[in-house]
Amino acid sequence: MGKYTNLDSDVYSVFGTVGWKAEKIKTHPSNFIAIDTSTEFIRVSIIPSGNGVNRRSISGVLIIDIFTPSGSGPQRPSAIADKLDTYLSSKQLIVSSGIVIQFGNSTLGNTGNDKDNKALFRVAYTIPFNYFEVL
Amino acid sequence: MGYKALVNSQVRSAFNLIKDLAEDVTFVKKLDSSFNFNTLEAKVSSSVSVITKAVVTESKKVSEEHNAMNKLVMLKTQDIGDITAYDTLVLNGQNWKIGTSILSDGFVTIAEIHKEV
Repeated sequence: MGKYTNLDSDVYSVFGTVGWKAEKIKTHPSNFIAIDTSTEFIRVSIIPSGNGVNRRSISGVLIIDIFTPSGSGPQRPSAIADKLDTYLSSKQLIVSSGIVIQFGNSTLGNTGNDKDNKALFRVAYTIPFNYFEVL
Repeated sequence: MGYKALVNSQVRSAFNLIKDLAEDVTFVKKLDSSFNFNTLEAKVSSSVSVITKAVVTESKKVSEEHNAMNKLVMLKTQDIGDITAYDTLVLNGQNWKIGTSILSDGFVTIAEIHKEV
């Protein structure tokens, strides 16, 4: 498979693990609309926008939008971000022979009420990554 | 008869009175969907089909980068209930995707539908 396909499957697979599922945080990828009335969920977007060390490598950021009820304060988004950190921050995924994904340190930024649903508050969790593939 | 029932009855009559201006359509509503992070597949686990009538109030072809056709359709809210983006409307045998702009007053729903042509 190509680097973009590998990157998608390897990063998204973190959210398919038994450990993450046990966190009971509803998780959606980008370009997917769930039939769901939840007021708390996250949306994962992989942005492979940076250079790599070779043609089979790439860098970028993982942006995870954390949605929680508006007016409920900062505690819950921060708690979810801490859980994300335990799976991602400074972690290295050695997913298959010759492929390594290294995550850096995360940052958190409030983006305010969601533009489509003012009853939801959105916080952006951002973490840089480097994807390496041996040629 | 309450006012809501009265208005719904009048809406139904109006769709019948305009005869073939209201076209027979099938509305396919997703009831449940999920995404599998291991296979990266989005799956619609259940859906329901509703046969109803729709009035096309506007057609617009946008061809700046690719041939997209957008339409505005008016539907009876009582027939279709609550709809969501990416539900499907079968109009004249062709599948159209419901867009993200859906307007309803509780009796009539006006939705954008999209398709490549």
